[in-house]
Amino acid sequence: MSEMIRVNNVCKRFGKRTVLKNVSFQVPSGVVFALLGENGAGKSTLIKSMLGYNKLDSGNIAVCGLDPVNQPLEIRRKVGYVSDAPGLYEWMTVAQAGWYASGFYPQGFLKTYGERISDFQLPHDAKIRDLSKGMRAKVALSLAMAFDPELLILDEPTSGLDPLVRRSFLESMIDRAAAGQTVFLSSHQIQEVERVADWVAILHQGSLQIVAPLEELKSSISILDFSQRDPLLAMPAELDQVEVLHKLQVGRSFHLMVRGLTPEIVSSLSQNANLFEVKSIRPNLEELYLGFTQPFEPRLSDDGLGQLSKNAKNSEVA
Amino acid sequence: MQLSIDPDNGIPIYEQLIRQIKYAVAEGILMPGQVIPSVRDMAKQLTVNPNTVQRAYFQLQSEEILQSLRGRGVAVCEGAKKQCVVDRQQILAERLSAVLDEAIRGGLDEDRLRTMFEKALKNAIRSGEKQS
Amino acid sequence: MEFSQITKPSLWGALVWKDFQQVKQTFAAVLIGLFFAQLVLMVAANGTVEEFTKQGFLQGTIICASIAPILLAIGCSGMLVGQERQSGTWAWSSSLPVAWQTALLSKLSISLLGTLVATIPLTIVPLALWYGGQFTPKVDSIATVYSFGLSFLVFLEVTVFCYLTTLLMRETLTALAAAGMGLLALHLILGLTDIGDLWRVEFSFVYALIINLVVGTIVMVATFAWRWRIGQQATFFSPRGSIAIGPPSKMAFLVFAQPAPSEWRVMLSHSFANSFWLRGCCLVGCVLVTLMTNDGSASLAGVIAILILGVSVFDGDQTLNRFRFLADRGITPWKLAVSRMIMVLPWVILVMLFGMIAPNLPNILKGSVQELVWGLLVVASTGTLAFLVGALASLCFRKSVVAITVAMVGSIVAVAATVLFFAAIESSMSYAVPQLTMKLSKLLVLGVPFSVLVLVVSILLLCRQWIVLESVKLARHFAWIVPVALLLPVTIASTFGFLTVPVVKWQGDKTDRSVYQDAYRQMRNADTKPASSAEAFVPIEMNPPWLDLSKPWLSSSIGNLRNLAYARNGTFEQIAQTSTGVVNEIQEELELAGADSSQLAMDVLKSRVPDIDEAISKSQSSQYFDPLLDNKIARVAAMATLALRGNEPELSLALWKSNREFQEMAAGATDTSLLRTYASRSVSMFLLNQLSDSEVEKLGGREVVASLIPSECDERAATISETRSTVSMQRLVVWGYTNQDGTTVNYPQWNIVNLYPPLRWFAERELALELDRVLQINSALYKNYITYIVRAPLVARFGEP
Repeated sequence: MSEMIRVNNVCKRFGKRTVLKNVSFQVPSGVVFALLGENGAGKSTLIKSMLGYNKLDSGNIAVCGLDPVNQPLEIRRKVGYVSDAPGLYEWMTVAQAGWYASGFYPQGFLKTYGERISDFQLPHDAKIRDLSKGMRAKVALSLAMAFDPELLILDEPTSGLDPLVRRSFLESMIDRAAAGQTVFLSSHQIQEVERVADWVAILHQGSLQIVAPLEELKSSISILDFSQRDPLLAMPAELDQVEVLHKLQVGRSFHLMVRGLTPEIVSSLSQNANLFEVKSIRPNLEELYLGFTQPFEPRLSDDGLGQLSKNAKNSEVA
Repeated sequence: MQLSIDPDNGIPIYEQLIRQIKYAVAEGILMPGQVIPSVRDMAKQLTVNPNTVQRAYFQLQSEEILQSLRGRGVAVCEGAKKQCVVDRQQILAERLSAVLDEAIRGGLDEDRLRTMFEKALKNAIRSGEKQS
Repeated sequence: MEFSQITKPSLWGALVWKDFQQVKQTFAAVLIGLFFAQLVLMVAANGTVEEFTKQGFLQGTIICASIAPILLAIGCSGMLVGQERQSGTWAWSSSLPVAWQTALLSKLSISLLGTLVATIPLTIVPLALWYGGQFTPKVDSIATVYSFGLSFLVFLEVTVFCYLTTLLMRETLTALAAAGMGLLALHLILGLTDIGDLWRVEFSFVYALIINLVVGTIVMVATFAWRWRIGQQATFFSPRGSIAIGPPSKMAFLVFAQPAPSEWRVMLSHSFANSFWLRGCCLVGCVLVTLMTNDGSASLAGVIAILILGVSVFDGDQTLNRFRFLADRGITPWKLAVSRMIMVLPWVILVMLFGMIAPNLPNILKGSVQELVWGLLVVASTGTLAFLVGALASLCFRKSVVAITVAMVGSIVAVAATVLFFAAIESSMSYAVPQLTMKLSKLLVLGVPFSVLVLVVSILLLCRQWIVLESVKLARHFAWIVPVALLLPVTIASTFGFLTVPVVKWQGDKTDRSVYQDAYRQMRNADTKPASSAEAFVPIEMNPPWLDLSKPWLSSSIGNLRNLAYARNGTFEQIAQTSTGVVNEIQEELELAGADSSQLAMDVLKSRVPDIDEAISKSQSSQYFDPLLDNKIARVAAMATLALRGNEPELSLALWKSNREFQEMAAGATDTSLLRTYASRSVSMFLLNQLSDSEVEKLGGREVVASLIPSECDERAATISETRSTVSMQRLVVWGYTNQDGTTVNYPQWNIVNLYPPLRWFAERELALELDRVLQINSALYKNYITYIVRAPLVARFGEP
């Protein structure tokens, strides 16, 4: 099928607080799809809804074509899930954990599990409680991958882990992507996401800000920096031709994130007498993320005293 | 072969990969006929998305710098070196042009710039002679 | 290990294996603990002679078997549902492709089958005792067996409720306490009046049971399915949220308004908020049990509640690492431990008040101040020890369910050992020094402060280790600290108990063991059956030989002697009444024998004379005291009186002479016979004094009657002498004796007192004290009281014999 996950107009409330507001997107198969968002943005809730742990207030979700609420068992047979707190049985050994889990899946689980365990160089007879945090995460990942799922969902799997372990996880994800399987990843580690993600979605305060292939995002959105000589003059008219997604003003310097910037506009701006130091750069994911999630707010005023002036309404974009 | 990818520097990852492979061929680090890691292995090694690596390989194949050996992976084409040297020169020319643009824009006058350039050139030649 | 060579398990196999692994330790602990308790009870029962206590111990073995299912129900649900949820493995398990029905069935089947299998070994001891004939088929035993069968239904009920509460609540221990409380409340509401009285099983108990079971199962299954579906939803938006640390939220406003709180205030308020609901449940549950029962089980519930309160001291810290948070900020461990324990004390006191003192209030108010103080001491000691054992357990064991089980098992074992010890003492000492066990048990209170000290110090020392080291095996410390601490009272009481008895000079006879041996041997060989011709005399029952031991040589209690002494101060009126009674008795007997005319009666009496002579000579020749002698003397005097009334002065005189012979024989034989025959001798002399002047003339005049007066005897001296020898004999029991063939016998079976010197000193000092007391009493009595009351008037009237 063409899409692994389809999220359609999903709303979810806990008590009075709305956690997900009209979230819609589709995850194609065979890609690495990254979901970014701050703590409390609703990422975990969304993922749990995908697995059938939550009932939605409105909208629907289809995972591998199945409805998570009504067909949770089938989904669990097709989807490997690693949460941020794996919850493994402390008294089991690594081998026992695999043996236990293999009872729920078809043949071949144990063999694949054994391969994954040797890849990760985990001791067979060590009890889970004696393992470090990183090794536990590896065990959880091995368990999730051992039955060769079509879709692997990872909810912040590497939070708090050392770089070596994180690299192991990345390699595993890449492996699966290379083999044509789909990986759905929710993470904070923007640098890692940047390397491996095909698609990126940004969730902020329950609403989806953007969902697009990463390459497309990076090529269609640009960072535009310039400074004004005379702050009292109006903003240049060229800015009306582009979509300003985010603006940050520090004194007389502007840092804009815009869509639809062409080289002609850049050169035109460079020739504007009022502006100097005009630069256009290709954004990295962190800048994109900040741009989509930070509010429009001027920060420090340039009076040299370093005072916060939150209420300063400097000249806005015309 | 040491490749390093910096996702932060503004250049697309696939572009960085292309450039580095071309440099390696131009330098002679990658010999014609030498097999380079498959898409999967390269992706794992660099920890980047396989699609990205795939895209880079694809472009390199279309420029006839790499060729696909059925069943055995991807190898450097014969005669790729020449093209790579040319491409590298082009890249360097672009970089040089960008530096000069920045200098001019920064307010440096032509004479000052020329002096700097001569000096840097002399230093580079001298250190290059020391290496060889 | 080659993974490809291992066969994968089936779905059921994997689930059942996993669930079994989680509960096997609980099963083992409960099984071993209860089996050990059964063994201890069995041994204690064998050592006890007193039937009531013995039966109590034996029934205790059945009770151990019947509480096993209930304990296992609680333990299994705590581990299979509560622990899984609390540790987060529930979330992972539910993310595997397993349906909730399968998961639930697996857990339930492990609980049920496991409990059935585990209860079987626990029936071994009771069945062995039943077939061995030790159980008498009394009503109580049957009730106990019935309760054993009922316990399986209760097991189902408890399982369902515990599953339900552990599914709903976050913390396992609180959930289990809430389940218990809920069950009690429901039973109370649905009309149970008295759990303790199972023989008259109220229909409402079973009725309530069934309702609870049906409704509870439906609700529980629905809740399980819901919980399985939502995985482990963290307390995302619950009002209390997931507070890591800090004073209760009410105080948040005050934080900014006031200067920073002191260290102690922070710690104490924190400790107060910990496990608040759990502690509340304990208190409420205890009160409910008090309302429902009116026997000792309320106190037991109180002790259990205090144990749970003790386990709640460090419970939150173990699971959520709150303790470490404060310690990381430089607060010393002992201060934290103290603050944790202090805030639980109010709860403990409340439970003691409402759970242990309140149900016994009517009894307490009836008793004396001394009894009140003693009762309070007992309650306070038990409560404090239970609390500290629970606190130590919560420190040493990470999982609260394990802590509770271990604390209970440890307490049971310690109590059982103490009980066993006392049973052994009682069985060996009950005839020698009857109050010994009671006094020793009072002394237990002396040792309690030491136990408390040991426990408190070990808690303070261990908590430093616990907090500083990451994972430290404190369990093995628990295993030796608790037995030492709980057995300290017994040890101290038995070792130093003798110091509480004032030293009094031993005034008994320096009786040799050989004399005792002889007497005992003679006792066993002596023919105590009355002569066949003495049907007119009241027959005696043949007592078992070991009771005979108590007859002349050992009184069953020195107290009897004391009472005897006081009785001897009975007034003239009592003697008069007795006399009239005996005469009437003889008269009735004669009428029953068909002698309604006085002539016939006289004939009957005449025919009895040879028997009486025979009896006198028999008693004279026997080395041994005739228990009937007392009766015989009185009856002969009565016969003599009747003979005189029936106008047979010769017969009467003959009978009077026989009576005098009897009296002389009795008074001259031993101190014992002198003392035992006081009643009849006083009756005889009284009757003699009742002779009217004309009757005196019929008999032959004043000199004749004067010759019938028996010689003077010194009962006081006799009492003193007999007391001395009796107590000396009892002292011999403490040491044991040797048989003729040289083998030593400690009578009865084990003489633990003999084996442990301080206990022997205690017993000996007690004996000396008691002897001294009795001797003082006897010395204060009137000199020659019988002689004073009845003989003196005789002599005054008729002159000296």
